[in-house]
Amino acid sequence: MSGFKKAMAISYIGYRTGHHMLRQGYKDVSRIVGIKVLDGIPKFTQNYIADGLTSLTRAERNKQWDFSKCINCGLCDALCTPIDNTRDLLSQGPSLAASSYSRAFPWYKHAEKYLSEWKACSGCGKCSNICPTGVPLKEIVAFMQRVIDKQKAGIMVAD
Amino acid sequence: MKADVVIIGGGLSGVVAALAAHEKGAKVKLVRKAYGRTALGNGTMSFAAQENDGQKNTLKSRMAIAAKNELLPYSVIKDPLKSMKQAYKQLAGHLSGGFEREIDDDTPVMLCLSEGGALLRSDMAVPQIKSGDLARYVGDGVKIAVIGFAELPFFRPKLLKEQWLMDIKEAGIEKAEIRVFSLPMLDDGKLPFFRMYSEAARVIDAMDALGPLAERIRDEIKGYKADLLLLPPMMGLARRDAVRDISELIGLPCAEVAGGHQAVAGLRLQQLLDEALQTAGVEIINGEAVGFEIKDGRITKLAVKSGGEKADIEAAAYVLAAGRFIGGGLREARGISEPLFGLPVMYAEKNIAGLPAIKLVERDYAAKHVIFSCGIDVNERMQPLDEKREVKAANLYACGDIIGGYDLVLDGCAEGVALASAYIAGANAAGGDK
Repeated sequence: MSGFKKAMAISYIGYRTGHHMLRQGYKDVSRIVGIKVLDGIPKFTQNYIADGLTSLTRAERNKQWDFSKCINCGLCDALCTPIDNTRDLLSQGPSLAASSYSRAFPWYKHAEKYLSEWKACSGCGKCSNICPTGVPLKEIVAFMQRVIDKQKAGIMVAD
Repeated sequence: MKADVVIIGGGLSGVVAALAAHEKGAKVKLVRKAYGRTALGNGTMSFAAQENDGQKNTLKSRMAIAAKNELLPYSVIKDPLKSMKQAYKQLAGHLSGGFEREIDDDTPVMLCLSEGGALLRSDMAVPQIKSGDLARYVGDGVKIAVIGFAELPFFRPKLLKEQWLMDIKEAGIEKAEIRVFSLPMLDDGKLPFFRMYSEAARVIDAMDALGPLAERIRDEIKGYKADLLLLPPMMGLARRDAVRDISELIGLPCAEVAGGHQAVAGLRLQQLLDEALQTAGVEIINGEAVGFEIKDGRITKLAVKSGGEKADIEAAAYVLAAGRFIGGGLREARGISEPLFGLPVMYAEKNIAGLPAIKLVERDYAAKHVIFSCGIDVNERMQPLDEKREVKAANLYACGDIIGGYDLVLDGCAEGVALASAYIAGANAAGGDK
C-alpha cells in the first residue's frame, strides 16, 4: 500500500513540475507573441482587489510598530484644534486613526468619510507633539488614505 | 543654542524647577518630548502619606508618617516640608487663579469623591475639583446630589453610590446622604454618545450660554435640599469657569468629581503650568533629548532632536525631570534602563537596571511592585548618583517621578516629592553651581 502512495506522490510532483514548466513556457511564448501576462504585484492585485486587499511595502510594515503605540489616553482628541467643535465631528479626533488603522483593509472604506474630513487638518502637528508615546498620527492618516486610494484605483504603487 | 539651565521634561516637577531657576535669575530652556503623567492625571496633588492618622490628618502629621518610610526620597531631602511649602508658594504665585489654598503645617487633607468610586485624599486640586472638598463636613452631615448625564455611559454614579457612602462615613462624616440624578446634557433629543470626557468638555466649551443647562439641572434636583452638587469630570476645557458659573446659576456649591481615565482635569493643570512658563518667559523646546557630552565630570552639551533636526544646547546646568515610564525618563523595553544618561535604576539600594519587567512584579495585584517604585538615586543636592554611588556629573540634577523609592499611587506623596525635589534642583542648578 505504501508503495502505491509513494507512486502517487511522485507522479503528483512530476505533474506539478511539468505543469509549472509548461506555464513558464506559455508565459515566455505569450511575451514573445505580445500577449500581456500579469506577474508579481499586478497579479496579486488582479486576484485580490475585489476583496479590498492590497499589498504593503516593507517601509509601511516597519512603521506599524510606531502606529500601534497608542495607549488610549485621549490627549490628542482633547487638544485637536483643526477639527471643529461641531457635534458632527465628535468621536472623530486624531485617535480614531490610531484605533482604526489595524482593521483589515476591506474595512478601511468605512473610514473614508472621516479621512475626507481630516483633510481640513491644518497640519499643526499638535497631536503628535503631545502624544506621550509618540504615535505619528499624521502618517497613519496618510497610510490609510494610500490604502484606500490603491483599493479605488485597483493598482499597486510599488514604492 | 545656549542657556544657563536646561530642564528636560515639562510636567509638574519640570515646571517647578524651571520657575525656581528662573526666579534665581537664570536663563532657562525647557525641553519637552510630549505631555506626561501630569496631563494624564486627575488634577489632584498629594503631598504626603494618605493614611488616616486618626483625628488631625494635617500635613505635618502625615509627613511624620511618611518620614518613617526610609525608602521615600523625603529621607534624602533636608527639610522636605519647608522646601515643599516654598515650592508651592512660588508655583501658586505663577498659576492664574484658584490656587489660593494655603499649604501649611496644619492644613487638613482634602477629601474628594473620585470618578472611580473612592474617596480621594489629596492636598491640592484644580479649582473645579477643589470646590467639592468634603473635609469641611467632617464631624457633621452632608447631602450630596450627583448628576449623571445620559450621553456619558461610562460615568456611573448609581453604581458607585454605595462605595462612596461607605468611604465618606469612614472619613468621619456620619450623616452622609447621596442622591443620584440623571438627565440628558443636550436637550435637542439627538442623544449622541460621547466616547470620552474631553468630547463632552468641548461641547461645554462650544455652548453659547450655560443658563439652559443649569436650569434643567435645577429642575431635576428640585425638592432635594443638597449641600453640594457634583458633576462629571467634563465641565469644559477652554472654558475654565463653567463649574463656577453653573454654581452661581443654580445657587448651590458645585464641583466636579475627581476625574479618572481620559478626564480633562489633568489637562487643565498642565495648561495652567504651560501658561505659567509662558508668562515667566521660559522657552519651551518641543523635542526629545537624545544624547549628551561629558567632560571633566561636567556635562557640556545636550543633543536634542526636534522635528527631525538635531541641535545641541550648551548650558551651565541640566535638570532631569523626565518622569518614569509614561514620561519616558525610564524605559522598560529590553530591560529597565534610564535611556538618556545611562544612570543606574535603583530600588532599596540595589541596582536593577537591565532586569526585565516580569522580574519586578508580584503575583498579588494590590502588592507593592518594584517596577512602580524604582527610579534613580540622588544625593541631598538632587544630583543623580552612578553605580559607584558618586555624583554622575557636577552640573546634573534630577527631580520628580524619576527619583525612585516611592509608589506613585500607594505612597501618595508623588506631587510632594516633585515639588520639594524640583525646587531644590532648580535653585541649585541656577545658583549653587556656576
